[in-house]
Amino acid sequence: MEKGEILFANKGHELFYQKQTESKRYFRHPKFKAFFYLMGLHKETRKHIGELFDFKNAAIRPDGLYCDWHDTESLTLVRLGFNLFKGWTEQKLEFLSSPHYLFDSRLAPYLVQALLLRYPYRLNRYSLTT
Amino acid sequence: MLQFAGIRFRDEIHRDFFLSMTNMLGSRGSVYHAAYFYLLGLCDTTRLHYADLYDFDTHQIKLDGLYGGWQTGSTTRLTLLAFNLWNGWAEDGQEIKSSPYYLFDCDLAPYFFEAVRLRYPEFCRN
Repeated sequence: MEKGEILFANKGHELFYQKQTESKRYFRHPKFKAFFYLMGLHKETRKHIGELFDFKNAAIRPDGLYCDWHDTESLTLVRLGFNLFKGWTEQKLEFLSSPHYLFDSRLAPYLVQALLLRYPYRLNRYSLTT
Repeated sequence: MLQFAGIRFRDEIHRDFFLSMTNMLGSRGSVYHAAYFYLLGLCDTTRLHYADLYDFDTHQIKLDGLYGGWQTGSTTRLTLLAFNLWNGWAEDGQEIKSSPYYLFDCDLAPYFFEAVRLRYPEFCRN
C-alpha cells in the first residue's frame, strides 16, 4: 500500500465510496468522505444507506442506528460515521462512541483510515503502514 | 517523526520516556501500559507530571490528574485518550469529549493513532 492510497476492504467498498463521493461536488468534503467510506464497508450499511443518510438535506439520520438489520460491526461503523460527521453520540450511551469501544475490533485499520479521510490536514504525514 | 522498533515517536525524548517507563514496569507491562505511557510521553508537561496520572504502587491510573492545574488543551486531550484506552473511562457528563470527533482533531492525532495501534496490536498489524 502506497502513501496516500486509500485502504478498501473489497471492490464493493471501493465502488460505493467512489460513487457516493463523486455524486455531488460537496460530497468531497472530508466529513462526507469519512462517512461514506465507513458506510461502504459493510454490505448492510451500503444497502440501507437511505436509512442512515438524508440525501435531500445532506444530513445523517440518527434513527438509522436502531434498525433491525444491524449487527455489531455495522453499529460500530455507524457510531463512528455519525460521530465524525458532526460529533454525534447516542444520548446516555456516549461511551460507546469512544475509542476504547470502537477500535477493539477487526475493523480498526479501516476506522483509522476513516479518521485519515476526516482530518487530512492533521494527518498528512501519516500513512497506515510503518 | 522518529521510527524505533516499528513505533513512530515524536522525537528522541518521547522514545526515551516510553522505553524507560516500559523498562521500569518490566514483566508487568502490557498493551495497556504501552499505549498509556506512549501518550504520556508526548508532551513535556505530561512527562513531568506522569506520577500525577499513574500510581506506581497500586498500578492504577489516577483520574484526578485530569484536573491538575498544569493541564492544557492538548494534554487534556491526550489524558482523556489515555484514560479511555486504559479501561474505557470517559468523564461523567462529558463523554462526548472522549469521542473521536473531538480527540483526533488536533496536531497530536498521528501519535494518537500510534497509541491505538499499540493498544490493539491484534487488529492493527500492517
